[in-house]
Amino acid sequence: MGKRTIVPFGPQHPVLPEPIHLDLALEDETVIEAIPSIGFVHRGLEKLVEKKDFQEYTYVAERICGICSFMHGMGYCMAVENIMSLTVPDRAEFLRTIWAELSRIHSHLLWLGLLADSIGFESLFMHCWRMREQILDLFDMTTGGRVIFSVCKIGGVRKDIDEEKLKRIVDVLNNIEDELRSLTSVFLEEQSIKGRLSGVGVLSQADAFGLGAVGPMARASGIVTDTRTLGYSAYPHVKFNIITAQEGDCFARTKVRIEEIFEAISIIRQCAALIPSDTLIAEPVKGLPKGEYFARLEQPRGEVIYYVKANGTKFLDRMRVRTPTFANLPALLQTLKGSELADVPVLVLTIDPCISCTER
Amino acid sequence: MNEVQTYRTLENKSSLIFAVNEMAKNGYRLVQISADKKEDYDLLYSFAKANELVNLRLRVEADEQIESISGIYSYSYLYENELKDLFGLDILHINVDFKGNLYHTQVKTPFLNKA
Repeated sequence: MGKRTIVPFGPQHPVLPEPIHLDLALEDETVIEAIPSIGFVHRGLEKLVEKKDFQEYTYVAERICGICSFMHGMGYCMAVENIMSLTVPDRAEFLRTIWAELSRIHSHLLWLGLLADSIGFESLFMHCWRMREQILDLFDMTTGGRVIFSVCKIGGVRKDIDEEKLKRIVDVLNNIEDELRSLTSVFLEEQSIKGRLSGVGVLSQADAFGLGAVGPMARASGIVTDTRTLGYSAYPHVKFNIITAQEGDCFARTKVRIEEIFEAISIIRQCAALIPSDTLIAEPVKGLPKGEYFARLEQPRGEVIYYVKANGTKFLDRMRVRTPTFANLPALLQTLKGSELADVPVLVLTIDPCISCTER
Repeated sequence: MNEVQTYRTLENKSSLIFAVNEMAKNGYRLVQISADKKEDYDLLYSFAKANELVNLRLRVEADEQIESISGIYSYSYLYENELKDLFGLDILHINVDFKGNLYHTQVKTPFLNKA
C-alpha cells in the first residue's frame, strides 16, 4: 500500500471560477476517494418565491446563472404557463428556441475555452472565447443584454427579432461554423490534447445511468437522452440529432459538446427559416396560478427541472430547481476514483460544473 | 409536449421503500426529491423514463423520521442531505451523511418555516 494523504481541492482553484471543495483521499498520486463540499455561496433563491410576485420572479430565475440565464427564465415560465394553461404563441416558441440554442453555443464555446486553458493551450482558449464573443454580440443585438436578457415572460417573450436581425444571426453562425470546423480538428486531432483527455475519467454507460448523470456527461457515455425530445417550445418543428459517444472519457465529453454546437447552429437555421410571421409574441396573463407542474428542459449542461407549486395567490408555495451540475456530481465523484492527482482539474472541468446554478 | 406526468400519493412512510424499489426495478431514473413544509412535510420523489415523469408524494409529520432511499438509488444522498440541511427533515441511514454540513448556510434549516 502506498502513502495515504488527504489533499484539499478548492474551494478556490485556478480551474474553477466558482467555489466547490473536494477532499481528495490519495494513495501516492492516485485518488481513491473524493468527498465534496458545496454550499459556500448558497443564495436561497428558491425561497424568494414566498415574497416575490410570480411574474416578477422570472427576473430572479434568470439570475440563477449567468451562462444559462435565458433557459432558467424559460424553464420557470414553462412551469407557470402549464399550471395556468397558457398557450404561448408559436412565434414566441421559435424565438425562445433561437435564444436557447444560442445560449448552448456560447456555453459550450466558453467551456471549450476553459478546457483549453486548463491544459495550457492559451491560443485555443482565446480563439474559443473570441468566437463566443460574437454570440454575446447577437444577444446584445436582439435583447439589449449580454448576460441577463429579460426577454422571457410568462405567456411568451418581450421582444421580437425582425427579419434583418434573423439574417444577421444566420450570417454570424455561418462564419462561426466555418471557424469551428478548423478548431475542431485541433481539439480532436492534436496529440497533446488527445494525450490529456483520452482514457481519462472514464464513466461507463452503466455508471452514468446508475448515478443519474445528465446532458453531455451521460451522452458521452453512450446514453441516448435529450430532454428536447419531449417536444417543448419549437423543438417538434425542427430536426436534430442526439449526439452521443461510447468512450465515456474526457475526450468523448469534449467531442460531444463540439458536435452539439454544430447541431445548435442547424436548429437555429431551421428556426430562422420556419418562424411564423405572426406579430403576437405573448399571451396576456389572466388570473393567478393554482396547481403544480414540473418543467424539464435541456440546458447546455443537461436536464434542468423546474417544479412550481402555486396556491392561487400571487406568491407561490414552492419553486424548486434541480440543476444539471447537481445531478452530475455523483458521476464526477465516481470518475475521480482511480484518477491521477494531475488529472483532477481537467476531470472536474469536463462535467462543465456550474456552481452558480447549484448554489441557486 | 409529449411528456406524461403522473402523481401518486403513498399511504404512509413504510410504503416508500417498496414503491421506490419498484421504480428502480422498472428502469426509472431518480431525477429529484423536493420538499415543501407547512405543518407537515410534503415530499415529492420524481422518476423519469423516456417521456414519463412519475412523482411519488409522501406526507410526513414534522417530527417524523423517514428512511433514506440511498440503498436503492445510491446518488439520492445529495438530495437527502439537501432536505436535511434546508428543511431539517430527519432522514435515517443515508449512505453518505453530511450531518447537516452539505450547505454552509448562515441560518440553520432556512426553508423550515414559510416567510
